[in-house]
Amino acid sequence: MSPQGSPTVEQRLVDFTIDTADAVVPRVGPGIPRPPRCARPPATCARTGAGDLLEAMRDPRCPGPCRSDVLATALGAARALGDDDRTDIAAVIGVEVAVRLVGATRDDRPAGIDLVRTAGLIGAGLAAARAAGLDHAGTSRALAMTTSQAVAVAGDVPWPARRHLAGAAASIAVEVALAAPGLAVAPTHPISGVRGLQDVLRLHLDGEVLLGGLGTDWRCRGPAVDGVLGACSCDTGPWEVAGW
Amino acid sequence: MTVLDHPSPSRALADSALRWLRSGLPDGIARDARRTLLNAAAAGIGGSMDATAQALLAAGEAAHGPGPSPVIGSRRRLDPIAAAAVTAHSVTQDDFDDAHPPTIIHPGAAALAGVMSEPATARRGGGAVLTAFALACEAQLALGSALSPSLYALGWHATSTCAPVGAALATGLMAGLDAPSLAAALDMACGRLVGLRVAHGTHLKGYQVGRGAAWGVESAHVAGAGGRGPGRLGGPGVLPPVATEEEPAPLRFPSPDDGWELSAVTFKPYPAGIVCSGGIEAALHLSGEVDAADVLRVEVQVHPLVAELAGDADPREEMQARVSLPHGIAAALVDGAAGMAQFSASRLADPTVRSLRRRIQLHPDPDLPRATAVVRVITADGARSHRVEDPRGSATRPLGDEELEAKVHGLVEGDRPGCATALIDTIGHLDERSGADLLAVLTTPRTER
Repeated sequence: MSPQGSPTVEQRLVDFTIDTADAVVPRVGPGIPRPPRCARPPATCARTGAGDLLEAMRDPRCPGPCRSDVLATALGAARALGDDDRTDIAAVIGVEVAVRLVGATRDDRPAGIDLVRTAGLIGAGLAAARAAGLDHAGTSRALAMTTSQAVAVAGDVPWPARRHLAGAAASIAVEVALAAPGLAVAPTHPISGVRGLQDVLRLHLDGEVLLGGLGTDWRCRGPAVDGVLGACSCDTGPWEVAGW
Repeated sequence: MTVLDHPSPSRALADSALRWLRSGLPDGIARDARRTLLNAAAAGIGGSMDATAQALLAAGEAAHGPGPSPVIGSRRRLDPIAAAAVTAHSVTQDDFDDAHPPTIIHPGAAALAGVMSEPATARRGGGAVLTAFALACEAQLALGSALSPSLYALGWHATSTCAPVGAALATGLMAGLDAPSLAAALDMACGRLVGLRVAHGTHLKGYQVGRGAAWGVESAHVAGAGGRGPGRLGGPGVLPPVATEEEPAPLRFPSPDDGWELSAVTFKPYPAGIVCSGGIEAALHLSGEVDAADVLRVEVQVHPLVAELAGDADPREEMQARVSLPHGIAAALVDGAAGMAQFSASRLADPTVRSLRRRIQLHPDPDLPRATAVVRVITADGARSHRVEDPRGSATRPLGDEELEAKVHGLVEGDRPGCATALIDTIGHLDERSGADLLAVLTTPRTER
């Protein structure tokens, strides 16, 4: 709890990840390809799966990271660990967190940081944790583990590297989900704590954008997301086909 | 020292590293490198037994399946990325590794992880392995020096943040990457900033060092396969401006004659944060003069950064105890020792230690050097004080070879009889041995009892 007794940012995100009822989550439509059950090790499965998904969502008009990168990473990670209907829902939860994190920084974005990929890894970590069925403690550790390695550096990313980065992030998320239960002690405030992500990046996070309506309002849907994620115009592929 | 002012600093660093790999290390630097490697290896083998390290090893296997890369302290083999993560974590785990005081970077973990995780290392000569290890340390310290002190002050865990560059260089050199690929690996390694100081006092600290090393290894693999990205290392930013508040200093790398930061690397005498060494040493001295049961309170003068980093008077976990100067002083006063046992859960919970810990007051003094500590013990009969200017393990009082070998025995020998001697012998004569010889002793498993 925070000093005032209200849940911290981290607790809210972990609670949202675990407690959100599947019924209220927008479903990923048939436009997102679902490969057959993968027999490879899960990190490999996540890596290639995220890359393939990004390829499927590829749009030449998109010059940089956008919603498709975040979605591909979260889906790749979640699908490597789960194979039921709830798997893709776990990914949507992760995307929602990522979208809100990026949106919450819109008034004060640090130079040199790729906030979409930064938030994308955090979201993918939560998606993987959900798909792996971790409890609150495990998911909290997973959040700390991804946050500690999430900061991505901005720069021109050509297509092969973009595909690689999405796959690498998905692979990291899977590793985190599998390792989190074994991490004996982890910080409980990796985002909001002293020397945490927000402090180190000198980020001002808009609390209302980050947490307002969490679990009821889905900000990863709709055209507003395009603005949040950098006015990228490439989100007209399968994601839209699915009714988003 | 040479300023890397080539249009591409990463290419300049790669060219320089490849020249050093061909020429070998100067004699004095080779000695420093052997000592640093020995210390890191022992810390890693000792740390590999920790439950978190074991959990990461199991998770690495579950995530990636078996692979070609050795892992420290184990005969199991993993995917290179997972192997690097586990090895670097193990070296850092017990806070008993090395330290470069000017940057507060512990370079041995990522350098060893980068060397070990590359399968080609087994086919290399021992001299080349030692050179790659030394250059990997040096690259981390070059980057850290350019960004210090603001990198750490801003809240980055400098060891983790600089680890990718070291691991990428070590792996790339062992894998035989050419200069363009090596430069690309270094640039890609700077594509992710790993490590937040919020992790201090938890197992996340070692984990993020491991992940930094893993990212570096991955960068080298991608570059070796032809991957290229934007130039990021060096130049006007070195790392993104957000990583520092000030304009970074130029990136420097050793010239043929001098300028090795590796020579300033020290080895921790106690399994605790390096900033705790002065206070612990003073307490050990005083433990011979006073009975801990008679102590009313303890006053400690230290640099403000020491108080900030190690001021926790009520640690609840072993990892927190390792960065708690009050705990280190209390345990040293009660036990007259400051080894692994003094930072165990049982000593942490001991009522006598806990009671004394709460009667220790830290007084920040900006006029004191960072390494200095003044401990004043007050009893009913009066007060005794001891001042340590340069603790054991500091740059001016480095551990001697015998002290280092004693540390190695303490870390390794209990679970692996004979391993300490083999480690000392192999690394001491690494020029005459192969990479495979080194890997064989580094992967000595625990002896089942």
